[in-house]
Amino acid sequence: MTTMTSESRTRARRTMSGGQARPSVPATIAKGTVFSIACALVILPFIGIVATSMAPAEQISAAGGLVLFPERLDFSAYDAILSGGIVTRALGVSVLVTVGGTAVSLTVSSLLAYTLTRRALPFRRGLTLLVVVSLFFSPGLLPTYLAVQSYGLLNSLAALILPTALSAFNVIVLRAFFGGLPPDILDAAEIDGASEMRLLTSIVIPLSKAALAVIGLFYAVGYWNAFFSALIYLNDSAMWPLQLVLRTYVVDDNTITGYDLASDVIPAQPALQMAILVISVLPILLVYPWLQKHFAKGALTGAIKG
Amino acid sequence: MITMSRRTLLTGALGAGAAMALASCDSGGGTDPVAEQSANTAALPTYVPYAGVEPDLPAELGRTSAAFFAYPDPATFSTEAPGDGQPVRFMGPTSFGLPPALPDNPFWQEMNKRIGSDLDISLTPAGEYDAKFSTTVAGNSLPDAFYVGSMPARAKFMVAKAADLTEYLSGDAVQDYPGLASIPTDSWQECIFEGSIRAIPLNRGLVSLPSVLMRNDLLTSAGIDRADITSFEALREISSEMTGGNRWAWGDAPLGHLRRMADIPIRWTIEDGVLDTNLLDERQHEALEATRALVADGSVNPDAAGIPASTKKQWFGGGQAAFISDSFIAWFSLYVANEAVEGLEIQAMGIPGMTGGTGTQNLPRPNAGFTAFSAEVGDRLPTLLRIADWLAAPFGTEEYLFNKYGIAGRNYDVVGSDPVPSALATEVNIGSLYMSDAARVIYSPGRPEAVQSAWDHQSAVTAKTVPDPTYGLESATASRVLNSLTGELSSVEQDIIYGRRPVSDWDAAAQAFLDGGGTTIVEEYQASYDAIQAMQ
Repeated sequence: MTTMTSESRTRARRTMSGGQARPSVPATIAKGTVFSIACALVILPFIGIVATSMAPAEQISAAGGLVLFPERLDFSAYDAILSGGIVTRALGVSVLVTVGGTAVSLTVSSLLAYTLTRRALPFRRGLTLLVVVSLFFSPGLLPTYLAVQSYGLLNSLAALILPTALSAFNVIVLRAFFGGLPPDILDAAEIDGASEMRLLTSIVIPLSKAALAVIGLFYAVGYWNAFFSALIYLNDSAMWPLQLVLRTYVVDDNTITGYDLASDVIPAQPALQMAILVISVLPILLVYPWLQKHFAKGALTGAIKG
Repeated sequence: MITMSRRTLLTGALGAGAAMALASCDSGGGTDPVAEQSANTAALPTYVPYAGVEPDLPAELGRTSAAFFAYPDPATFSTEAPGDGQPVRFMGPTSFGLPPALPDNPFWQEMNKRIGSDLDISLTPAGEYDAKFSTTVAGNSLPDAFYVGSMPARAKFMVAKAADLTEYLSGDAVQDYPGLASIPTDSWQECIFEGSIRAIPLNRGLVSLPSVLMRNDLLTSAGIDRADITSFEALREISSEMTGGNRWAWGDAPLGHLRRMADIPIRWTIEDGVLDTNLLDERQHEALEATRALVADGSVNPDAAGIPASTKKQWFGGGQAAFISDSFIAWFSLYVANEAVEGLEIQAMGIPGMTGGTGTQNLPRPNAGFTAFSAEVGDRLPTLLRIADWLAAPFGTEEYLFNKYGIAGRNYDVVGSDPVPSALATEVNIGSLYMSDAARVIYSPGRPEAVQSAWDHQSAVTAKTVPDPTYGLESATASRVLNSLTGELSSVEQDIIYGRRPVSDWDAAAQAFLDGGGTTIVEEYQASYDAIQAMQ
């Protein structure tokens, strides 16, 4: 009978089920400290933004800018922003462009991706190659501007959607996902007389919710964050999306006036700037948890299948 | 009538120590300075100052702006609407908040009515304007009038795409447009391209002097007399006294001001017709050491680096900063923004020498840019010029009052003879002032003491000035690499000021600036300067 020494017992305790050594207590504390600092570095600025947006004007003035802990909650910045002025209108434009644009993008991306998976498609490889090539060669700003201009889209919200409606990367991811669906199901439906459109809408899309959710999120984030296309294509500031308004007030440091807010009461400028920032980030933060369950599956599709 | 020939201006401007008159034929990116300069032969518009009002404090070229203690009894400037009933499209930058759209903006509607044409104005945040302008140019979709953004080969663009205004504005012809004629001659220098007038200037003159503004009420309550700032040591001591609790003397590290005190406000120099740079001058160390000392003393707000200008102004208004660097004209906007601050008194800091005596004020460019009309406007050009003339109606006129302050009883209230902006004043910010603007004066409604102080300050600091000798000179290398070289140098400046690098590192950084293109830039400026001299 073998007697286990205290040293070997310790070693055994440190050995985890996977065969890896359990880290020592100091190492665990060190790792925890490093990760905590890293998390704090990410979270603290965000807390500062949210806190400042809800802080009273006198505290912001006393602090000379950002505050971390509001003395009391003051939602006047949000009241002012959502009171029907330029910021409110810009929020509406952003929602419209994001929802409309994502719908258009998902539709055209699904149609193209599905088409590229069909074996009966002539020159399928060549067409797929064309899509891939477009990943590496961007048309550039000026040719895109000239195209938008020649289609008569300048100064219209369509200019914020159509030039970026189709992402080659997203099409390739979707094509990979569609191509991975069991061909027997599609064959059976074809034998039963289903048209290509029926195959797409009744079989392929319902089975691809994970991929579509992820691609939809990519598109939505892209539309929501876009400001440069609005800057270039729109002449009427009444049509500006939230991100361009946000840039005007936060990055370019222009003063937010009562007119911009349709409000007689103008809260502290940092509170207004931070409130616009929170509102611009919030929708994406709210949507993400709903899509998270699809995210890993959908995002990995493109990584392992071509 | 005051007239000034171009030759007179060039001679005056490019001589060492010339005050305000700066020969500026083209700030674009031409590559042949001799050809560019020799082609600029258009007669400048005759300068006819508006005689309808007498300033309370006089204007003097290179020394002071005209100043008014109160708004004069408004004179009518034009008898008929300048427009032709057709819309006028204009694109320009803005540094203000967005104005309400035309249907919600009574001021804009009234302006269209008074002009007799609808102004269709497209505004872009100033920081993004160049990108918008470039794509609009590339798309050949320029509107009737446009603020001219930065671009390479601007001279060639202007000649190809901007309407030639020479016939209408050159020499005495400009007197048909009295508003434009009241813009000082030095402003027009920048609007001449290849021998023709292609743009109208947006004059700022001396109101954009780089300055340090002070909360004099805070100094007074601390028992400090601003006249005691007579050297760097005195400034340092007062800065320490003004720092404490939640207040720092400085809202920014004042390297620019200390360079003025050290007599090196501009990096380019000219002596006996030879252009050079003072980057390797010993006084650079002196200014850096001094700025670094203020930071080390804790007299500069530790959050100052990288903080937006609006935050610094907030510190100033809230009393967390007693001194901030800004443009001279911010003197009055800071009063407006901080009306609720009891006892507020703003003054600008004088410029003593580092160890006593007098420092050197650098003179700003005369314009905030210029506006051109599309070459495709054809027969409408006189109409567009009349509209520009109307928008440039001089101070003291009814039109100026409307353009700057809006509708009486709505955008401003009349107190005495002064227009005091109301809560609806921001309605006026539709961007028309970027299309055409009057020559600037010193005036702040209801603050005659501030006007007097501001004029006195101008008069005092412009006793010893230096213009930028490179204004109007051409350097292809500068248009290509100067921004990036300056950025690298500024980065080293910041490191030195905040103690991350020793002052001795400056010389290596300055040499890198010169080796990276600075020397070539000096040579190209010199060639451009010599070309102008050869014309004399």
